[in-house]
Amino acid sequence: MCNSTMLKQEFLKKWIKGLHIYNNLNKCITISDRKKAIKLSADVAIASTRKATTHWSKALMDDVVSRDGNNIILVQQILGGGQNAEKNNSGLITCSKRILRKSHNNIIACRKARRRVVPRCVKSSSIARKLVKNKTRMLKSLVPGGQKMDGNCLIKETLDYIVSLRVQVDVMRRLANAAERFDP
Amino acid sequence: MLRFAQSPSSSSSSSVNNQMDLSVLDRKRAVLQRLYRNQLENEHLELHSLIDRQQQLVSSVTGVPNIPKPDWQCNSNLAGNVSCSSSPKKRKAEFFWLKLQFDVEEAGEEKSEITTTKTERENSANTCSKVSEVQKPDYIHVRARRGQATDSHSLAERARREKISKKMKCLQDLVPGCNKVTGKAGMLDEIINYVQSLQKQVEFLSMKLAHVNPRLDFSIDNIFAKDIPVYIANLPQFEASNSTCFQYNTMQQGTSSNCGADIAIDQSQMLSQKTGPTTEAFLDSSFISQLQQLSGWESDWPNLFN
Repeated sequence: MCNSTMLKQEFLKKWIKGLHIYNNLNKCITISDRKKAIKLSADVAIASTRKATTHWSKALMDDVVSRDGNNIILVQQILGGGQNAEKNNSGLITCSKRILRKSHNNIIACRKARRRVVPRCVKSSSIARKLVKNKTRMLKSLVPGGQKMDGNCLIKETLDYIVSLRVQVDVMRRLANAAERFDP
Repeated sequence: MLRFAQSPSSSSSSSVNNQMDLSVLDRKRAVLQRLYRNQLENEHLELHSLIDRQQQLVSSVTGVPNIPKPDWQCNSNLAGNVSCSSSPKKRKAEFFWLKLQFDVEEAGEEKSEITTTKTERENSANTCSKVSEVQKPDYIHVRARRGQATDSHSLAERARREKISKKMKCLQDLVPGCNKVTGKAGMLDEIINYVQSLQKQVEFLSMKLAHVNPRLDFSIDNIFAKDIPVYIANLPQFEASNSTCFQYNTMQQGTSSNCGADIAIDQSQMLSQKTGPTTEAFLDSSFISQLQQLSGWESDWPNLFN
């Protein structure tokens, strides 16, 4: 319990700091600009609470930085300047090399298999496996940086990502309610 | 193949000699109980040493007060790679395995004994799992189940699958509505829906925040000065203090940011004194003062960027 409270506090602090910095960088006039600013600083804040220990947080930061070069200042400020906001993909690279090798072998095997005549027998196990594969692919598309993860890593990252999302939603909802009540 | 610490074997062999006149089943029961007790003691020691870490992990992972017991044990696997059996029944079944190995290797059984042990094994085959992690950190002792392949590849594959299923169980506790679904595909479905809904909520809330404060301009003074005290007022115990917030509101329009912040601090302290700490309020006075400092020196940033 104490841990989640601290997490929420940290997220709120970083979020407000990020909003302020972003506002100084780019003036937001339209609603969509404001919304983009809010969401961006919230994402960066929640990713920085993990302090680059998880793959999804690193991938999220890289995504933010690559989207707009100015954001790197925002990211650096929120991270405290201690860590570099550039692509720090060493862990991801080792993870992904394995996956790339496996997927390459799979592709070659699939090509070979396609040339052979495959008998059409609808087995329930193959259907189940196909379902699981499709769903895993979808989950990979949802979790940031999920494409480069294998099954075990993906589930661990999903667990962490869900927790952080819950914190983010909780804090944002409370702030929105407070603002709404104050100014209906 | 299956290694034991020296002390249990020696002690049990001496006791076996003493109990020569007892029936076979009595001997078996005595050995089993001794093993069970030893293993329990070891496990308790390890568990006690891990309890604090696990509680922290659990609280950070779930963020929810009610944590069912299997989740705790599952998180122990996440944290320290100590596998605990999920029920005493399973533990007993595992010790059937251990005991069988010990009997066969050490005592040199007769055929009748072997047949009796075989029947026991058949009875426990359904509940028996492979023996994992016998107190030695360098090896993972795995025994194949009856009728399963025994080569290292399939064993490793099975170990990997067990790891994944344990993590899926943790996810099951985290994602609401996952208890009713069984099977990987259904649970993945629920997880995907949940993650999608959380992401959509974030989008919607950010849109709402952008709408609600059109004149906000994201200046921290505005956010802080207006919303945080109102947030505190929002908490159920603080319903009575809305009037003070409105008073503060009228005052704020004419005052500078520092002045307003001071008033906010006074407000928050007053409010917190009224009702004491609540579980929902993660904004206590110390945190608000930190945000204060944040707003104070944040105004210097524009100079740095220009």
